[in-house]
Formats: sequence, structure tokens, C-alpha cells
Amino acid sequence: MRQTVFGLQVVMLIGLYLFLYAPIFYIIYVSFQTNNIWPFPPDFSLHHYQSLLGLRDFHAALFNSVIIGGATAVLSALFATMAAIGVLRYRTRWRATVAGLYLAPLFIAHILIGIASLIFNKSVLGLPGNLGSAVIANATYATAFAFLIVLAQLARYDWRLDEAAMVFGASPVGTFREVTLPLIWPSVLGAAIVSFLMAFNNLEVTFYQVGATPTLPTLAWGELRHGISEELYALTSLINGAVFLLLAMLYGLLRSGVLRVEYRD
Amino acid sequence: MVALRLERVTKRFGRVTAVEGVDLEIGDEFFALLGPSGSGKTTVLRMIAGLEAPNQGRVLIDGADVTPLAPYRRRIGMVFQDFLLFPHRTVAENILFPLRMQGVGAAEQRQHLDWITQLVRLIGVEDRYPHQLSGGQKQRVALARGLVSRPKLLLLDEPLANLDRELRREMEIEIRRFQLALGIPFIYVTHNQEEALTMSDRMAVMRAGRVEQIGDKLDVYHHPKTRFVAAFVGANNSVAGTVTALADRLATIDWHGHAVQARAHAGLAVGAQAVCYVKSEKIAVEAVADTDTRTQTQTQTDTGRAAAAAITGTLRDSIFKGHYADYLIDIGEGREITVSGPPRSDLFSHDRPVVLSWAAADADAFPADPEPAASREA
Repeated sequence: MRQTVFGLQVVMLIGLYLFLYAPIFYIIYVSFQTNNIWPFPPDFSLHHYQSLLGLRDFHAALFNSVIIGGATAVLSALFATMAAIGVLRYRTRWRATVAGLYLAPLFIAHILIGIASLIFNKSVLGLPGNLGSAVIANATYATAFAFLIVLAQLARYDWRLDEAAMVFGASPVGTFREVTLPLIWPSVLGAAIVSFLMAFNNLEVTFYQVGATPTLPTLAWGELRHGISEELYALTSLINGAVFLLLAMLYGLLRSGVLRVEYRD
Repeated sequence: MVALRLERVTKRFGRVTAVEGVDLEIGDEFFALLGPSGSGKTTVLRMIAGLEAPNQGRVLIDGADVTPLAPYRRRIGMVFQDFLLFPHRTVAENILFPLRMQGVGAAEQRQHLDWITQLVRLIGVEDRYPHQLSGGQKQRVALARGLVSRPKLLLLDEPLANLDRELRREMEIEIRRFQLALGIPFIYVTHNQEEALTMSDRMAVMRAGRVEQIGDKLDVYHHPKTRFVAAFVGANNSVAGTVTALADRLATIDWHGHAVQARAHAGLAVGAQAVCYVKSEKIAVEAVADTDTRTQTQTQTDTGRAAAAAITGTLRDSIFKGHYADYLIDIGEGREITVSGPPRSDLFSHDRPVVLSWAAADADAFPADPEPAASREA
């Protein structure tokens, strides 16, 4: 009886993982195969990747995606940290409202952010769509995500440490540099990495801003219009690979203790 | 010499007045601010440090008005509750933090570090991190950080609250030693009267944002000026009754047929209700052989001691504490009185009739006005 239950649990676990990852791993598997229509039995090949490297726009797309991801990460982590510190330090009765308004962009449809930013930038600010406006548009919802991450960590920070630093002669800037930042930077970095990944992966928001300028997701989207091309397998696998690599790096840093997420001794 | 002066300092948080019109003058001494939680003592300390700005009044250090100055311009040392050591810095970095912020050179920093680690006995742990230290070591690091820059004064905010009893005793004596060695004012906030009485030269007792009494610690202990201080400082017993006579600064109070005498404080009137406080070590207790104690009371207490009160009771329990003992005595009417004194063999049998007495000068009578007596802490 007990064994049957355990067996059932294992089956459910595997089933759930298949549900979550089967399509992704199938694409990654196919990207290394010669035949992408029926890739069985396995026949290892890198020709998808070779044709991807030969694809016009691939390098530009990769570069642009990294730029959008990186700039969004910096902007969002900065805004989110300032917002979280403000929300935690000023204990007014409006606190919940203030925090809620920082989080609301999480629930706005990305396509709406994309279209709205395009129209607003063009009609009100008179700005053309480009990488810069893509960064700004992506930073709206990414800031909300980053805020959530920084807030969760910062809620455990003991602000009396800042008071101690000030009594011992540190100016507000000195206090932030000497005490606050060294203790909270893991959460700021975490928020930056998540923001990077979200902007790096984003299609809907970015698409409306950059027009013909390629990014990895818009390139994949564009390729799809010609049917499932060979490069697409390699492209999607690479994007995923990069994302997982970054997450694995973060995890490794946390495990090794280079990054520490606790502040109190 | 007055190192610190507070002039009519008031602090309000919203509609709550935390500190109201506090005046203090502190010289190069060990000064304790004693009060129950919520009495405003920590707020006073935070205003001296600059962590709170007073709504009214001024803070002067060495005669200079520092009221508008930010904390980092005041050059004050402070020891916090929970130590608040910087967890990402080593012991040496923690201790040297104030000097580094003041831009002191490396060689001089080294000298200060050697001096202070010797003073607070912290040698050999300079490269450790706070989480690797014991409670006592953390306390010493916190003290070293507070003193390393030779500040104009040191503020201590319940620094011993999180230490165990043994360590607290040891640190009380150490901290007192540092004050004598450095000769700067130590201002020590605590709700623990034992700490205040052990370490301080002078003390102020605070209650509900105001200073109730300020003075030499022995004076505060032996001569309470308000009912609150009488109830809060020391181990106290109280009996309440009607004032039957007032003369020569002495009040006579009728407690269920017993005439109890005590020093009269302002506001007493014949016929009004009064409360009489007497510290447990100032009560004499005598065993009575006969069970019919009431008739013997007068003769028993007439032992040359200026007995001002004599109350009969029954010894309920003796609590032996080594060098002294507490005797719990039921005096009827639902009252129990605690007497402290040297351990005595004749007072270790329970349910023994006893008679209690104390000198009028050792008891203090206050009007039993509506204000409630202090609920004692610690």
C-alpha cells in the first residue's frame, strides 16, 4: 500500500515536470539533431546553430537584447531599491497604498504597456521608437517585479544599523555606502538579474518600441512568419540556455557563500 | 562642569507626548536615566544623540547648542541595545568605524585600536566577525566602538538587557571602571534599577515623559520625593489608610487599627487617604512566642529603636538567598509584606506569629490620590 502511494507520487512528480518542461526540452533536443521533422533515432548535429550564425541580424539581435536587458536591469534595480527603502522607512498610513501602486504594473497586460508606451512616447514626448524607449517601457513592469524582490529581502533589514552608523559619524551617503548597500546588495543584484531576464525575453513590450530593429525574441517572431525555420530551433534553445546559465550562476554564488542573503548575525 | 544640558526638551510623536519639558544637567559623571518602558528615557537619549529632533527645547553639549546638528556632527559615542554591530565588518573594522568616518590616519587608528582593545579586554579577536563572538564579546566590541574616538560623552541604551545575569554583573562593574578611567559623562538608560543603583553617581527617575526625581542615587533611593519613586525604586511594601495626625513632618496613618508613622509628603491632610511605603530591608521583624500577639505589640516594639509602626502578622515563608533572606509576612486584610534581612534561624519556621516595626524616618507617606502606583518592572 505504502509502496503504491510512493510510486504514484513519483509518477505525478515526473508528470508535472514533463508538463512544465517537455516542449522546451524537445526544442533543445531537436536543435542538436540533423532531422527536425522526425528526430528519432538521435543523430547529433550542430547544423541548426551553424545556420543561425549565418543568419543576417542574429548578432545585432543578440547585442540589442543584451542592451535592453542590461539597461532595464540597472534602471529597475535602482528604482526598486529606492522605492523599497522609502516604503520601509516612512511608516505612514499610506504605506500599503504606496507599495500597491508600485506593484500594480505587474498586472497590466504587456501588450497594453507596449502599445501605450509607443503612443505616449510618440504623441506626448515626440520620441521615436528605439532601444532607449524599449528600455524605458520594459523598466515599468520590471521595476514592479524588482520592487517585490528587494522589498521581501529588505523587510528583514535592521534600520537601526543605519542609525548606529550616523551616530558614529557617517553622513547619509556614507551610511548607505558603508552599511546599507554592503548588506542589501544581494537582493539588489537578484532584482537586477530577474529584471534583465524579463526584458531580455520580452516580445510584446519591446516589439512595439523597436520596430525593425531586431532583438532575439522579435527575430524569433519574425522568423516564424516564414514557417518554422531551421535557425529557430537553435535560437530558442540559445535564449533558454542563456537564461538557465544565468540562474545557475546565481544559485552557485548563493550556495558557495560569495553571495549571502542574510543580514543579521 | 556641565558637559550636557537639556533645556525644557519636549518631544511629541503625533498626539503622544513622549518627553515633556525635561531639564537635565550632567557633568563628568555616571548618570542613569531610570524608568519603566514608555517613560520617555530612550527618547531623551535619542534626542541627545540627534536621532530625534525635539519639538521644543535645546540640547547643549559643552555649552554649544547642538539641537539642529545631525547625529554625525555631534561626536558622541553610543552603545545600543542589541549591540548593533555591523555584521559585514570584522571586530577591528567595527571598532575603527567612528575613526574612519572622522578621517583619522591609519597609524593613529592603530594606536587607538591598541588602546581600546586593551581597555575593554578584547585582544585576539580583532579579525573575527560579530556572528563569531559570544554575547560578552559583542558587548565589549560595542563599548569599544562607542569609546574609541574618545567622544565628549557616551550614551548607553539598555546595553545589558540581552546578557545573562552573571555576565550582566561583570559588565556593570567593567562599564563603571571605563567611566572612571575616561572621565567623560556616561548616560545610561535602563529600566533595571539594580543596574542604575550599581553603576551611577546620580540618577533621574522618569515616568510618562517627565523627570520625577533627580539626584544622588542614595538620595533617590532613601528619600523618594514622589509616590512613583517611592514605589518604583527599591523593593517596597505599602500600606494604605486614613491620616489621623500630621505633625513635625510626620504623618500618622491608621491601618486597620494600627498607628503607622511615616515622613509626610506634600498633599497630605488629616482625614484623607494616604499610602505609606517602606523598603523591605528597613523593616525589623521579631518572632513572638505567644500566639496572642496583639496584646504584646506595644512592649515588643519598644526596644530602643524609634519604632514608628508596629504591625503584627504571620510568617508565611522564608526565602533563603545565601547572604540574606526574604521573609513573606501575612499581615491580614489580604496584605503581604516582604522583609529582607540577614538569615536567621528563629525565622525559618512557618506560620509563626511575628511583629514588624520600622522607624518613621524610613517610611514615606503620600496622598492616595487617583494616580495609580507604579507597576514595578524588573
